[in-house]
Amino acid sequence: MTILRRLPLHPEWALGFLSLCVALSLPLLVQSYWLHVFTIGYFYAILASSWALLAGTAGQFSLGHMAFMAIGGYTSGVLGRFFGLPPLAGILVGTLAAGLVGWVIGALCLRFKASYLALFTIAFSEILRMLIRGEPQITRGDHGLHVAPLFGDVISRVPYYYTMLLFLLLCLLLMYWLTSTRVGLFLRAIREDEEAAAARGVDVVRYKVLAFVLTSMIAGLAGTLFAHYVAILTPNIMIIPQMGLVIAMAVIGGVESLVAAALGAVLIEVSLEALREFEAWRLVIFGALLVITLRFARNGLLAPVFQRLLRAGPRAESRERVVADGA
Amino acid sequence: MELEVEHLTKRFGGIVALNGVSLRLSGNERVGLIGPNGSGKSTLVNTIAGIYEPDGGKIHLNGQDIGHLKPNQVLGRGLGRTFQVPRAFRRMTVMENLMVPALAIRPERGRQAWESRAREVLDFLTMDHLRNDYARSLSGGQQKLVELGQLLMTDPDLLLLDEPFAGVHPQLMETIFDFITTLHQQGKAFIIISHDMTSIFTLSERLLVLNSGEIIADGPPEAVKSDEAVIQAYLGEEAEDA
Amino acid sequence: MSYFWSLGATGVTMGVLYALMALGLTLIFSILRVINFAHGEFYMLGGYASYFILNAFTGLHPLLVIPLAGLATALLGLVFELAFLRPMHQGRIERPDEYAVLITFGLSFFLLNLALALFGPYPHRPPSFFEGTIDLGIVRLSADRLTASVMALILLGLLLLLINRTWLGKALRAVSQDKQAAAVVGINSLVMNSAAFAMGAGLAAMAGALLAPSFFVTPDVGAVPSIRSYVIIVLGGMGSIQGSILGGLLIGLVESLGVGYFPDPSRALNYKTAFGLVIFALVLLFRPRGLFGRKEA
Repeated sequence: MTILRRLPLHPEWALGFLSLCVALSLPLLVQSYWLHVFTIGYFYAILASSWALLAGTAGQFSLGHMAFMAIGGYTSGVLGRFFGLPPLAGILVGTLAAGLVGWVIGALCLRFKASYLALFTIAFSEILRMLIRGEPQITRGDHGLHVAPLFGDVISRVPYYYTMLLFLLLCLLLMYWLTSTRVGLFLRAIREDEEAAAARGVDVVRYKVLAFVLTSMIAGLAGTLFAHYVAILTPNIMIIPQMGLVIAMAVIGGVESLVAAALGAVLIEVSLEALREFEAWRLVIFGALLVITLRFARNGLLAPVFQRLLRAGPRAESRERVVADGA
Repeated sequence: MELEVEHLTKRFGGIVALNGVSLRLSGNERVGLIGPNGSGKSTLVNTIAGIYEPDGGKIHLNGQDIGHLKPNQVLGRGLGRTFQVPRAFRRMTVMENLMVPALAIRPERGRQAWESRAREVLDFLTMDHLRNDYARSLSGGQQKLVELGQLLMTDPDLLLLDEPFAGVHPQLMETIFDFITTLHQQGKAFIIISHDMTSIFTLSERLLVLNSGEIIADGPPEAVKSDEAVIQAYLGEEAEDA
Repeated sequence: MSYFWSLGATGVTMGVLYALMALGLTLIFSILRVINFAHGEFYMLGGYASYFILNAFTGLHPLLVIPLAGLATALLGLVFELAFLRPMHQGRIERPDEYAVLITFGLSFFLLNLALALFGPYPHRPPSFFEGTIDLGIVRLSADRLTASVMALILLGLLLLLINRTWLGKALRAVSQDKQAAAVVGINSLVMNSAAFAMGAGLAAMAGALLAPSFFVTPDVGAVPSIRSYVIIVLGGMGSIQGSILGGLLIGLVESLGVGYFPDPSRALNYKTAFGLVIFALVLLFRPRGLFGRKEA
């Protein structure tokens, strides 16, 4: 522990590195079934961490994140169905499509405060779901849209596992890099006090839209990866309780820490599988945990653990005071 | 520095908060803005600073029309403002608070350069030892200093200070006082809103009196003090309270 | 042309039920300044409550259970409000705006899954209020649907009476207009918050209980009504009682006419709530205060 204390590392990254080692060697350690679980876990981790960036860093508590994920997946799937677009190209196009819609939604939401933003994005998500269900000639609706698997006839789950892991790491790196630049500073200022941020020179419009575009692209990317992995899409991937699950993951992990949110997602997904015998009660447990965490541990359950285990930097003391207050 | 406000009007629903306000500031004038409660002082500051869109009239800074600019753009043109209740970014450190406007207005200067500049500014405000503390752990007065530090980073020509002395510890008041006088000597102009008559009279070379959205007096403090209209405005308010 | 009137009548009869539920949501917003994202789950719990009460006490007439279901859910709402919302109004929660959104959304997630765990995914159906169908000339409705509408109308009337003629109603209105002024005259806003939240939950629950015999009860039965309630309160104006009532009737009509005149009947039903949602998005973008809402400075 003392060695770690001397390293000038940001606390979360050290633990992240350890997790990375475990993650890379997982196919050697577990069966195919658990590889699937972790792959889905990484999928949720991409969603949870990008939502954490949008909400926890930039302060935009959108309830429409799953819609962007669905846009990514369905764009690729539909284009594949009608034009034979290959999966790789589909991933690119799906991601861009989600980003484009994210740009529009972000621009529309500029004036909205917390409650109105939540309402508008929930409405957007439901309208989209209705469209997907209502136009089966395009999307196959509830029957399910068959999507070409990314690795064709390969039966093994290993390549999919590493692909999802790779993109999770790339997204985390990208988002983390962004938050370390002045953009991250501006986004946090916007969350703290939007009007004061503007008075202090921050182009609030530009950065709010940027947050939406980037996070919706990442969600869209997750959607395409999911689609080309499980090879079938239904509108059920974007029902409101799914959004609730992602929020639970991000909040329980720690909504202000991208890595904590990602880890929270993986942990919860794995727990959900491990607790299979509890069936419907599993989600009840996490639902209760979500509400309790919100009330008593705003910073999440995982994030403070990192900060306490690996004290680094002069800020730690005052930061701990803030954490202890349950800010 | 040249600020020209012409016939500025601002309405909120049926209420006329500013009714054709005109004023001119140049060089490094120190102007006090006073008036009874609800006279429109904050609205005037907010409109000049870009939070509100004027319903009529013009605002020109150094010859350029800033009336329709957003607050961040107004800061970019050299006009900074503080808030009545200090609005530092609570869960960011003092250093980060200062870095925000610096990187927002002149990002090309680079983080390193701005960080050393920030430390100079904090030194000047005797707050360097607090640079890594979260703003929320500071007192109200210290948060006001943080706001002033933020302004200083962007080197504005004109500073609008909204109640800089309200609720401030006497010792900190001195620091704020020094801040204003030093910057004035460096050539910066001020518009200061304050209810604290003693400070305002000491600091200002010129007083603007606002009442019900209109300027009823504009001149040296001594002259304004004995102005009939001004006395009426304040007495009138007192009479209503009685 | 009679098709139009038939649709209109259907729309209005559903509209009063929508209004009842939306009124609960608007009451909560107007007093607590919080959007209850779990409103649909209260609706759902009302349905389950009526089912289980009638299951336990088979002698009771289903209509009598409505207020009981409302009361049970109101109590649940009260407990939640005391534990999770009161601290917000006591200044013990940082960034309350974010918290408000997340905590009720979290409650929704919790209640939905709790119902799924406790009651399973298969529909439950409480016994009918009355059997058969009633022919009103322009439209034929099941006795259950008609009973639900009439009861909703009565409950709306009682609620309006409560709000306009009783001390509680006055106190609620006072708090919704100016908390501090209300405090000065001795009204404890924290108590009013709890009362409003409980009442709001109860109203949603009663709407759910009234419609349970017609539409059955599943854990996610509240999902669509909750979205619809958001649409109504935004359209009517958040915090406005007349807005919720008028909005409820309007949305009822919009849905009925929209489905009735939709070019492709096979897809019409799927898009039922879409019409309201489009109106909702437009209102949010162009006239956020809705029909009767206050203009926020």
